Amino acid sequence: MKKAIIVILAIAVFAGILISKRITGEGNTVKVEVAHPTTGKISDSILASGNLVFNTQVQLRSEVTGRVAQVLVEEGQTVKKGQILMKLDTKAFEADVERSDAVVKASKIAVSRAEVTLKNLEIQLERKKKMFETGLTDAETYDNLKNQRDLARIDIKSAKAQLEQSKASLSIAKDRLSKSVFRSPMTGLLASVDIKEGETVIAGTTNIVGSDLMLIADPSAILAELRVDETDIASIKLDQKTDIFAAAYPNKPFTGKVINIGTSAKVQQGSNGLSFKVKVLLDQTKRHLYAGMSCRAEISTSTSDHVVKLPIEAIHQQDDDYYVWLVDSDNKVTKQTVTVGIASDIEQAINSGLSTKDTVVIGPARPVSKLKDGDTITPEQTTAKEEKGNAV
Amino acid sequence: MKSATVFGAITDIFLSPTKAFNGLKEAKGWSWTALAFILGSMIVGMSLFYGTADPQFLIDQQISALSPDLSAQERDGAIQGFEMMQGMMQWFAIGGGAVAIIVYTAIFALYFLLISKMDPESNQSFGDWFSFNLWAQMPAIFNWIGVIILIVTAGTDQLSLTIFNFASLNQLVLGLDVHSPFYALTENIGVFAIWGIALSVIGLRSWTNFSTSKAVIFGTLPSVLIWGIWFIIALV
Repeated sequence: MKKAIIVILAIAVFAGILISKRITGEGNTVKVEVAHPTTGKISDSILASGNLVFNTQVQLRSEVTGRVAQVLVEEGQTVKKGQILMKLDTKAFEADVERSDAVVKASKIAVSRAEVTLKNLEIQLERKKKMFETGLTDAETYDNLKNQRDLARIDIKSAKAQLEQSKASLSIAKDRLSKSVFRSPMTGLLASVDIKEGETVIAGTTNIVGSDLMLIADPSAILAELRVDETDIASIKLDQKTDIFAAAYPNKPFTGKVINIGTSAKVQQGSNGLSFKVKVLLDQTKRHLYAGMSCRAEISTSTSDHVVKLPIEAIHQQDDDYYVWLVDSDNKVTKQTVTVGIASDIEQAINSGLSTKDTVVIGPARPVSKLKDGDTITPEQTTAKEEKGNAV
Repeated sequence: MKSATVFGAITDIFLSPTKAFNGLKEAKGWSWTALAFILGSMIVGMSLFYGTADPQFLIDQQISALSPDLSAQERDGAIQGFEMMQGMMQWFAIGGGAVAIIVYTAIFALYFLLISKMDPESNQSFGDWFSFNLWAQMPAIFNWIGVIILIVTAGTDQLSLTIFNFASLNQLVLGLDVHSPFYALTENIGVFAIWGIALSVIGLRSWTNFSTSKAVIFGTLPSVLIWGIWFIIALV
């Protein structure tokens, strides 16, 4: 009897613990965010990333190898066409000119010497000819002299050719000397100066690119060079409106238009995907932009005005149908099939199935994924999402 | 008096433990039944839990239990680890649980083998004490039955990992926060663990010639020692 009471008591305590620990969930109602569809403009867009570059830019490289003696400009400085930017140490180039000049002079002397020799031989030959005709000398002596005269004529030609060659060498040396001074090829901004005094610049050859010295650019027009995935390239057309988000202004896009679409796909760095280079010319802006900045872009491929739209996370897909969770006045949810239109990366246009008076579940994703028809929810009204500004 | 059959012993271990231990002394093969019951109930309970619980919710719980002193990098690493383990969690829990039961039983069997040497008439082997400890852990079955009932009756799939210790000192009395230094200790001390210790004391009385006070001391010593050291570590 006593044991039976203990057993009953133990079972009661066990049941009591289990009842007290029973997991009920959060009152069987799920807290979700709800919102009303809004009307407005929506753009179907393609996303791409890339970098900003100047529309017109010249990369200055050296044609000669030498040590930098002077850099006369600084990065960010505005320069005029013809302005001296930097100089190489000219000692070696000047010595080369002097040497070539000396060779030219020596060649001229050699020509003069050959001419004198020829003249002397011609006089001797005239004399020998008369002696040969009178029989005072033999034919062999006369012929030898004639031969020497012919050789002297050839020597003159050779000396003259040598002179031309040395003149050409002098010209090259002078050209190299002149190329040791670097002048700006255009009026513009020095976007980068990659060389310092004392450094050695290397001339470019067939297989080796010469040292990058400076980048001179026209800062009045900036391009975004975008890498567009090969799957999206068919939708890109010239003159399409594009919003460019530079890393320095992540919330204020710049506007621009597509001006060039690459014709060959290139392998993207760090992946196996292929992409095309698309150039977008940015509209004039007062905000500072610099070449090399990374940027992302939304290229508008189509735009609809005054459409009913929802945040994209409110739309769910089942097989080929799209649906939203509609909230009624009793906070019960029902599945509402909708037809969708174009979409941006944050919004989706609703062509039919909803009006702006309806209330729709937006998120969060986990509780929403568990919703069933007829579930009661605790709605939390979302604040209207800030419209994306197009500040220029 | 002693249990005649293994099924009788299963009832007796809860209602008349002395009878069960007297029977076990002469029927060594019963230990397999105890092991099957303990492991079986654990596997059913664990499988039901991981089959029902929202995996993301489990990860979230593990993330929230991470020490706040971790650097952002260490935290990211731990979160990545949880996410990678997500699919394997159930098998790690069952495998780990089974290994823990066997290791725990073996250590306690060694301990009881050593203290039994103090009784000149005791001639039990390591295997006998292993079996003894398995039977002393039989209350764990009620823990698993409770877990199964809680899972089945739950109104949500967002089940807490603490459900396994629903009869612990912390959950029944203290209600300490997961970041409390005494949280793990008080979650470990529970009704069924104390019941198991009590069975060990009763079993010692049955298997040895120890006096009641000696049996109480030797039966409770390992657990008191473990929890005592744990308490001091938590205190420091």
